[in-house]
Amino acid sequence: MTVTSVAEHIDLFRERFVRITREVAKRIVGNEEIVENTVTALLAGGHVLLEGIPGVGKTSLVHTLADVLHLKFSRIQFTPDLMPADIVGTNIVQEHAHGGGTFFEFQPGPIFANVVLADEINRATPKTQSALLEAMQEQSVSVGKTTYQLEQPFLVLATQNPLEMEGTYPLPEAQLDRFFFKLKVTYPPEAALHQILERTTQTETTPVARVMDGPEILEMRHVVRSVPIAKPVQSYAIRLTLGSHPGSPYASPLVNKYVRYGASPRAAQALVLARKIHAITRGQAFVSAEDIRAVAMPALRHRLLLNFEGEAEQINADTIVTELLGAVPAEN
Amino acid sequence: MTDFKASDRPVHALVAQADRQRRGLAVAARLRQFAPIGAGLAAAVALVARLVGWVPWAGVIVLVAAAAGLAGYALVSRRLRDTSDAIASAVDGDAGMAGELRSAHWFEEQAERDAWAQFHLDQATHRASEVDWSRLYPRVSSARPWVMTAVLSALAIAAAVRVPARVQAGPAVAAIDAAGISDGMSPEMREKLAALIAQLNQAVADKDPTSKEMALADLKDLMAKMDPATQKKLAEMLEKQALSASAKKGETPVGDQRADPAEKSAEGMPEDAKWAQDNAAAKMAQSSEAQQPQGKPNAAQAGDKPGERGAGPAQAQQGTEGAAQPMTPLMRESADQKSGKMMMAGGGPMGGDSKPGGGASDDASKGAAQALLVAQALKKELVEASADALGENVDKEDLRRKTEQGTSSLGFTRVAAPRVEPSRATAPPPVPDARRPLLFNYFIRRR
Repeated sequence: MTVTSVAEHIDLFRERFVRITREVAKRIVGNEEIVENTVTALLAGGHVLLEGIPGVGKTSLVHTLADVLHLKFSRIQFTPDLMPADIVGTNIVQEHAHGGGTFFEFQPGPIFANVVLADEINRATPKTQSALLEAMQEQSVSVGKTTYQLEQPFLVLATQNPLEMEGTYPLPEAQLDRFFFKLKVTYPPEAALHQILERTTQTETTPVARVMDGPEILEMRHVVRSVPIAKPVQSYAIRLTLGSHPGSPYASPLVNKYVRYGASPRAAQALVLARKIHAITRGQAFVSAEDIRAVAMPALRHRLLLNFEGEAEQINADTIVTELLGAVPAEN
Repeated sequence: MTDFKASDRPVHALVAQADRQRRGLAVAARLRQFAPIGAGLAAAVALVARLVGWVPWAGVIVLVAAAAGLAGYALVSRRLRDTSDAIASAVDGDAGMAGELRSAHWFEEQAERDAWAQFHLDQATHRASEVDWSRLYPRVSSARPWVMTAVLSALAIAAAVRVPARVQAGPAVAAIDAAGISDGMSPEMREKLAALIAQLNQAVADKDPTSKEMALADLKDLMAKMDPATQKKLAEMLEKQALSASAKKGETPVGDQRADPAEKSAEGMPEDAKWAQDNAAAKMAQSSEAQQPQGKPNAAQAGDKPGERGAGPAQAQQGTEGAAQPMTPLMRESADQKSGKMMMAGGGPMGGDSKPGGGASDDASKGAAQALLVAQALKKELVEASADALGENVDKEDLRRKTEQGTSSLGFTRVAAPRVEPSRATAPPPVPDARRPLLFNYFIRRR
């Protein structure tokens, strides 16, 4: 690869990224950052947990994204009685067409799609939630003695409601850690609400075009990983991750006081990969410490496991991450 | 900024140059801050040195040291040095390159670079070349601190050169104590004597004839209040000091050098005084020549001469010592005991007419010195007469002055004068008998 081809790759990546976000923005108004981060997670090969009150457009965002990408989409409504087999699929008894007995045939579940919407994921039991573990990390599903590879690209977009906690099951830490980003969808501003009403209360719905398919996304994923990162910047991402662990030399006072377990190496991966994508979208081929700081919140907030004091005092993980960003210097 | 693109490692060269400019700003700010302080310190030291009596050039030394320190700091701080990630990060932050320069700085250090890294380096170099570094690190031209520094430096130098030093009485006090002069002397008198000696020494060292004459006059006044034994000790001490001073300077205390002071002392004198001085000098010269073959000291003659009052053996002995010791410039012009004797012709401790007495020398050059002393004595008498001074030939001078100053030991109290009404006038209270002799001595001068 030459320098010229690098420039071409970057330009192509930028153009595709802009195309996706522009199409999504036709329907989703007022949450540009959420859209950008969701696409970022998609291009990084990660999954996104969307948290927000009902009606702010979480599910619409996922639907729109699936429409924009020429990908197979499925939706799973998580309920307390949902079973793992309802997600991953199951073996069912089939009869041969010409007689001669029966046989087991695997019936794939909704997980076998490119974009999976796990709606209200915290309403299912942890047993069912855990059915996503293998799929999210290994991109495969094991049923019985058989492991089925999921089609690439594979993206899980889960939503959860932070208000209605009754009858819900908090996601296990292992599950949370598998999410690339946890994005908090906030209430749209007044100007955005005008646009939302204009687009959703009239006879015509805003159509979106399918601007990208699976192979293009995989190609973009490959380009992302080519972006180099300087060791001092990578060191900063590592120190931020280590700083979320109580007792670490980089830990802030709040971390030491309220955190039981800090972020895993997946957090550092998320920090670096996310900013690589951001760098390319700016037409650059480097990652800066400021870039790392910009994505620290969505990459770290769901990976901090609070201790009893933190839970009792209802400490917000965002507060801890904010303090951590101030405590860990960008220079080593 | 030079063309960093020509370097093998353009990003490193650029960061190094930018860092140098950046440090230059900080150095300039420090210099603007500390240069006036250093100059002010030097000026303060110079003034204190003149007041306390340190080395006169102490302020200049401090000024030079401060200037050298600041110059060294500027040189060391502004030299080109190796860059680091922290420096690159700081320069990057100043230039607003969002971490690109820092990242490129690291990649440039790597031996192997792929196309992506090279693309990054090219981009960083291009963007860095678009930064206006001279505007980013501008030269601050502020004349105010430098003007202040120049003024204070000039003050320090002027203080070292022009401001007269304050006389230190400490060594003189020690010398007085060592010579035993202060025994039985009041602390005020001791301090005054030490101050006068120090002032005299300083005047001699500075070659300041005006202050020297003032010091001599005051010293003579003070000596007049001392008893003869103390006067003798003081004379010996001054003589030793003068000897040591002349030995240090390599001077030869002979009469050749005495012509100039004599001539100088005659300047500005009235004609009659000049005539008296010249006449006395001629007489002394003749007297010295006449006495030389006899080999008899003048001091002894002065003591043996009839008609001269109070020329005791002690003073005669002093005259002998005065003749035996080499005359120094200090002694020549000091209102010491011997010159007083010459002036007063040995009449009592302080009294007598102005006649040549002790201190004559068998050397012709010393005769000129005697003439000079007589001339100075004449001059002093002239000055005292014109100033309506009481002179030294008044008995109980010290006592009377003390009384006038309200410190009399007689115990009179100063009260407001009562309003006198003639119709109710009463006689003043009688003076107690015990105090009558004191009153008598107070009001009647002894001749």
